[in-house]
Amino acid sequence: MAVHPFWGLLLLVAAFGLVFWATYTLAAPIQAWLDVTIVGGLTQWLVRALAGRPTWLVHLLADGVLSGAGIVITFLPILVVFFAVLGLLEDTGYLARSAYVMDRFMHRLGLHGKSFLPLFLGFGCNVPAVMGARIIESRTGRLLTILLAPLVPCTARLAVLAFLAPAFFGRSATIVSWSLVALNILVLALVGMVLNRTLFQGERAAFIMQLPLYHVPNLRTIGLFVWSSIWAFLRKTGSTILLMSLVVWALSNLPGPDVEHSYLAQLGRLLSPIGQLMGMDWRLLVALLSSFVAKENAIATLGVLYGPGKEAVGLAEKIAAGVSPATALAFLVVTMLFIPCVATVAAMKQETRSWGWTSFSIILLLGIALSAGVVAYQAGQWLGG
Amino acid sequence: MAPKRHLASLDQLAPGSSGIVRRLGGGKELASRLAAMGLSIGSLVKVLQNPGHGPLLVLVRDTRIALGRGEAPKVLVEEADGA
Repeated sequence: MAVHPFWGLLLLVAAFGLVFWATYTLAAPIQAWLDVTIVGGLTQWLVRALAGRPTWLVHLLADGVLSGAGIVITFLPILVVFFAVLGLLEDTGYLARSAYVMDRFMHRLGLHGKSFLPLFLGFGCNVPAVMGARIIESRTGRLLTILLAPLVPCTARLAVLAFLAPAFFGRSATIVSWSLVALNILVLALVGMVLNRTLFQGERAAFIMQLPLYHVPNLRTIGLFVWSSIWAFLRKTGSTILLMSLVVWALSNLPGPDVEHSYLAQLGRLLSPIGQLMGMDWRLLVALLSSFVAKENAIATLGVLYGPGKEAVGLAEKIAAGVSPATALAFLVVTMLFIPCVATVAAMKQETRSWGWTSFSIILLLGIALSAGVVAYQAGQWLGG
Repeated sequence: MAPKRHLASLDQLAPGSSGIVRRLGGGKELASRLAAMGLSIGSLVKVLQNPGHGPLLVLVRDTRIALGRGEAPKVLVEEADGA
């Protein structure tokens, strides 16, 4: 049944729908709670404890160190739930069957069935997707999966999309959003096929996999799997995330008093010739750059740059009033395809053990995102005018 | 000694039919991976699914094994009668 060409596929959709649902309903509230109560509380405590010390020190510790640590901490619930449900599916023997069902589709991208699982995880968060590529034995297959993982739209990007699309496009927001998600999948497939025919030519991994008998899952096995995955994330990826978010914090706070006068903003102004091709001014570019720390930062940055007013309500409308639909479309396209966030980059470095491949991924995605942005803007102009 | 029979590759076998593995092609590495999964020379293998495209599902030594379409032609079997 589970390996039937048709019913197997249907069962697969149901099983992964369940994984998705479990992660959203279980992990999302815990994540929000950790973010607001623990990280927020700790920040407030720190600010109070350091009262009287130099402002830059308070800033560094509260916004630089703690927010970096905050990213690491708030990732934990998602990772725990993902790995737990995945471990459960693995231990019952179902996971191997889902790889068997997906094999013929993944083959077109130069991958085999096993790559489907980590890539699917990417919809929740690209970090477990990159880490999950470990289950693939061949190095080329693993590398290709890691390179494709950031093209899966994660929840943070979907959140930005859900926030901005209605303001930009009103009633067409749903169609625009679905088209953008479809665009990501399409680009993923294209990049997979192209990389497979060029860089990884001829290196095809054998697909041989045992389908274990179904059995009752063992809680201890699942627990150990979750624990070792989480520990690996905390010990290795966590420290890289912390380091990189410190660097980006420094870029967005030095030397000026605020983001508007930071190195990041200077970089944004420097890039404005490219921005013009996409109809974006430096503010939208800075928002894109800041999304490197965490995708949802794009909204916060736009809030700082566009809305001096205190009320958060109406921010989306305020931005929408300032940009043309073509620009808005280009901005969303680039956001969806843009370079992976710091955490994902850290995970990529960890898993590929190579800054070369990590930089390759960043440059590749940057190129794809910017060209898609230019095309979207020009097409939007042409259609609109 | 049984008379020498025609060898067929695994992907040519219809679902439900079975055979005895006689030769493993595709180099040492693939042969050792196949053998590690139980698909060694002399073992009895039964084809459970062979949809014509995509991977095959076979039963060997009481274990279900998924085998890619690229790998199945490397396994040469002597078809068993009546199975």
